[in-house]
Amino acid sequence: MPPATQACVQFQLGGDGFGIPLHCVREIITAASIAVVPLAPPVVKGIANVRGRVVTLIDMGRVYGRSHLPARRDDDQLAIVLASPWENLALYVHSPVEIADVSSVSVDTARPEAAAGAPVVCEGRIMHLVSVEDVIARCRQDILSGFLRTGKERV
Amino acid sequence: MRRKLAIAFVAVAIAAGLTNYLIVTLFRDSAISTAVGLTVADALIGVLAGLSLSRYLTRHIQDLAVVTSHMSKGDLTRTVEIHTGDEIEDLATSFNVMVGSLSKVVHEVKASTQQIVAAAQQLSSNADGMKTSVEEIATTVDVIARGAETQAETITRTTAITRDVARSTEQIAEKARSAASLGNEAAERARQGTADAVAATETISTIHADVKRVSTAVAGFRKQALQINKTVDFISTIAQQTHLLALNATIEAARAGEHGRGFAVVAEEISKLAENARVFADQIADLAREIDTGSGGVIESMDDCHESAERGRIAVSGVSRHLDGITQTVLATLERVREISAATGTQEKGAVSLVQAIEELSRIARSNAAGTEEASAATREQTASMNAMAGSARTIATTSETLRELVTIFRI
Repeated sequence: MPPATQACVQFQLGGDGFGIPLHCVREIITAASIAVVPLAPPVVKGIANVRGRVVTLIDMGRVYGRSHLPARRDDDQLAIVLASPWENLALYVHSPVEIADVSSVSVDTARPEAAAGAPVVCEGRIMHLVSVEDVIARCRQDILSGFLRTGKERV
Repeated sequence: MRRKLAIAFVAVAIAAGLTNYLIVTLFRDSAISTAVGLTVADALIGVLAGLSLSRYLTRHIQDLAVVTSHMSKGDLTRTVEIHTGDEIEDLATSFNVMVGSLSKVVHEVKASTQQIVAAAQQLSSNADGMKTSVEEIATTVDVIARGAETQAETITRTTAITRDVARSTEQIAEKARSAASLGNEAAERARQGTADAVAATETISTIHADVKRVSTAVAGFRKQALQINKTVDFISTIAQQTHLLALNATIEAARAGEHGRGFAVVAEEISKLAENARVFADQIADLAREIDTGSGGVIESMDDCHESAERGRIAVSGVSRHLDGITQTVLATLERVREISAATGTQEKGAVSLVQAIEELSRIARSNAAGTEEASAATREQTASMNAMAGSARTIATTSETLRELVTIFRI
């Protein structure tokens, strides 16, 4: 029985391929005008106005501790706007961003790479398929601790 | 005198006869007595006659002897006074005449001796003076001879030095002619260098203008490259937007399910086209950046080349001016070298004449040295003669002094 495939949006972090399921994505836009949120933790890149709706940009490099590819142009900075119920969130990544079909592989969850998402195969290469929940789970603690720390500092 | 002696003999003979007669008369008795008596009487008469005669004779002779004795002591003032009227008086008279003559002679001898002594002393003094003078002359002639030899040697050395000077002058003249030739060549090369420098200046000015035109053209290329870059950037933006539209179309197609499958294929193709457009746009952008960078480098190089050409033009202009100055200097030097060449030619002729004159002078000096040597030898001989003459003069003076002393014995 051949492995199951699914479409995902893939991007690069620190030389590794990452992907997020296509059904979790609403659209991909250029992160042209980002407003920096004061006292926000580093994982919060800023906020942007996407057709009248305020969207918070989560810096995926900060979430997974990887560096982005260098942006040669302004429109290399992209925002992957998530679909409902996370339509107020967007993932901040750098080009290139592609849509590809990935197939799941059997990987020991105890291996270290499992912590960055489920390993999948895309065009013969293994990449990390992350879930929105995992991203939110990684961000929540940082956001809470960051805002609490800054709040305490303000107090 | 003979008459007196005859009378005396006659008187003696008469006396003897008378005596004999008396004796015979007295002693006629005895013959013996008569004989003895006669003998004794004759003997007595003879003795008496002899004594008287001798006394007569020796008395004037003693006078002569006394005067002669004084004469023998040099006293010529005395005379014999005998007036016997016979030969003894004649003898005394002749003796007195002889004494007078001798006194006169001695007087004249004395006077002459005085003159001889004075002359001999003067001669000796003069001889000594002449000897001293001749010795001084000999010394002077020796000095002159040595000086002449030294002069001859010096002139010989001077001749050699003058020959060397003449050869050096000849070499200088030759080198001056060679320098003049080289100066001509240097002047010609300097003129050629000046012409080349002028041509190089014009060429560099042309290069300067060409570089400026090329620099302007390259600056135009750079502007065009920048324009291309902007266009490519715009194309890249459009490709990126197209790519995002394709991605979003794919997302929407996936959301549409089966109905959107064909749309997804179209979106995928659009995405590929956009990706290709972006890749080519990136390549063009890279090329445009390379052109821009290269043009910037070319412009900088052109600017450097422009500045270098300007500096080269200024430097070549300076070289041209310096070469022109060198040409003028070389020409002036050449003129000086020609003057030196002419002067050394004259000097060369003068040196030859000088050598000839010094050789003649050397010959004269050698002749003078030989003559001086002969004069020195003659002076030495003269000195020896003067020594001999001075010796003779001293001998004459001594002898005349002795003669004068001898003559002083005589009193006159």
